[in-house]
Amino acid sequence: MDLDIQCEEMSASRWTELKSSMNTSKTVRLDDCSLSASHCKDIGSVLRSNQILTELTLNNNELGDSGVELLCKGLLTPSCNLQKLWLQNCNLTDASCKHFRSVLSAKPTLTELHLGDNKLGTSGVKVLCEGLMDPNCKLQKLQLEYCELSPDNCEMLCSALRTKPSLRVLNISNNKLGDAAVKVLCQGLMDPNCNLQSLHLENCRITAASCGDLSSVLARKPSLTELSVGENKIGDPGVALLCHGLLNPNCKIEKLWLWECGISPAGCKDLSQVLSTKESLTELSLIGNGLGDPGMELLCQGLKDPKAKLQALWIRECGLTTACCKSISSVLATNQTLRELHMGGNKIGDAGVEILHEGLMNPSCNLQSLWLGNCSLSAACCGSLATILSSKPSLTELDLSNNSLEDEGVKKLCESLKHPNCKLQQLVLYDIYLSSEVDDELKVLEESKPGLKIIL
Amino acid sequence: MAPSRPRPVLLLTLTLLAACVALTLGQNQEQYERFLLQHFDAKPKGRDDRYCNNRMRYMMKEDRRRDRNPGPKVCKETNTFIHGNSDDIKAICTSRGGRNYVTRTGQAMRQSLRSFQVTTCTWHGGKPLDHCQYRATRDSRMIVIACDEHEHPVHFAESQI
Repeated sequence: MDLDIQCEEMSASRWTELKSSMNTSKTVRLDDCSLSASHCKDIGSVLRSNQILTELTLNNNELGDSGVELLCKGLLTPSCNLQKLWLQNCNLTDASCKHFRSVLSAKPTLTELHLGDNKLGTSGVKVLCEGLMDPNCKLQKLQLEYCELSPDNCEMLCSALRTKPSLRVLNISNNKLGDAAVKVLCQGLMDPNCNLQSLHLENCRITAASCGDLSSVLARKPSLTELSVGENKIGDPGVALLCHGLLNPNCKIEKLWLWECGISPAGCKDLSQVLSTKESLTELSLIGNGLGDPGMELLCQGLKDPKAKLQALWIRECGLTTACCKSISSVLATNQTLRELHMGGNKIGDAGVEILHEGLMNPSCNLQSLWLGNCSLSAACCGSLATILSSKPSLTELDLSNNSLEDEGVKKLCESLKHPNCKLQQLVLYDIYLSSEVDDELKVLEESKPGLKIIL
Repeated sequence: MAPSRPRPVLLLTLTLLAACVALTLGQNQEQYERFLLQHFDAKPKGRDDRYCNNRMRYMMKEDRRRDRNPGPKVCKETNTFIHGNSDDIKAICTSRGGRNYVTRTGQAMRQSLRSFQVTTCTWHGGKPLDHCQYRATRDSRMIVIACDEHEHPVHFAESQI
């Protein structure tokens, strides 16, 4: 049994009721429930008595260090078998870390610990790492986003990477680390003992200098399949270095997140080569980079290569216009693996949709999810979109939010949604100004077509 | 002659009329409340990426909770929160705080006379609801909204200015 509650104020009677169901649940989730340290005493006793409880999620509650102490007492009970613990944004400080240290060194059953958005600080994370280094600890996922880590923490994280072959996912995004710290971390990642699969270093104040080290890791470690370095100003030189590692046959990267990295068309040349040679790569995010139409043309060349196996491309807010739509359209007509295309926030306009229409209608195109929010579209392109909807059963998700489609445009879409060939599951129309008649029409349509959800 | 009793037909008509007015008012009120939920946050904390992650999570959950027939969880791609006083936003619907504005496609809306502090949250990764990750952009700018007949804001026009 699962207990899944979010955003609920807890009355005393409601809490009593929940306590008994917590005792028989396998997973308990009470996010944003205004819980405090006093509730932790009860949750602690649930941890002591409920042996089938494997997942506990208490994000966004003001538990505080005293609350965590009570939880950890429960966790330390030999009969407790908890595997996953989420305590994001729970108002914890370094004082909580000694309790986590005890739990980590005593409980090999614990595999996931998510502590993001708590001010653990340098000293706190050092104490946490002592627990992580204990031979008893078998942690697989550690999330320390926004935890006020400093470069001083990387030495110990490096040792942990060297000694913990169980560790698969490390998220230390949104901490002020810098290049020197990442260099130290990369030494740990290069260790033969390290089996890390997923590394998140978003907004860590790193530059192109770190990309050389990360590139060596990529070339050496086929285990590393997911890398996020978004929101770091690595620029084209950084991308060139990363691509060098990515192109190594040893590298088996699957997901690459390079949003807001200061990449220009020059960097797209390197990325294009990665797209056309790296068959393992399935997801790429380049959101918020000034690729422009010339950069996009280069990426499209790579995507048209038969070896390109990309499934999801995020190119929102990349400064694209109608001019690059011809290239994207020909990718859609040739690439059969692409499933998801996020291109909102680009001024492609109605003319751009007309051009994409051609590629989308090609039988080779298997796109399932298309995001065109805030693309300067009007009712004029809804005819084309309607044709796509009624003749492309592969398309299940379409986002057209923040476009001035108006009643006229949305009415055209409605006609196609009624078509039996239309297999759309989700039409997202956030922030589109419609009359209440069309609003009602959409509601009626939604009710008449099971499986379709129109999100307004 | 005794005073005539109200005729049943008239009574029925009046009751229906009152019900209709109440229903329309209720619907409008609902739209205004949804506008506030989606686009208003009086006193934001931080206005950084973390603010957006938390505020968007709260907003989307609350929005789903109010929906009689909530569908699959999605990450809303772009959303702007206006800060300050809700009465100042409401005033845009009147001559006190706003002027007529015609969108590029000819829709009649209202533009604020003064600029507002806004935070725009854009999705950059992570999937449904609890894991949607947002990027924050702070701005101080004029805003364009649409109002209903009761001078209540009901729509925020993201891409107009």
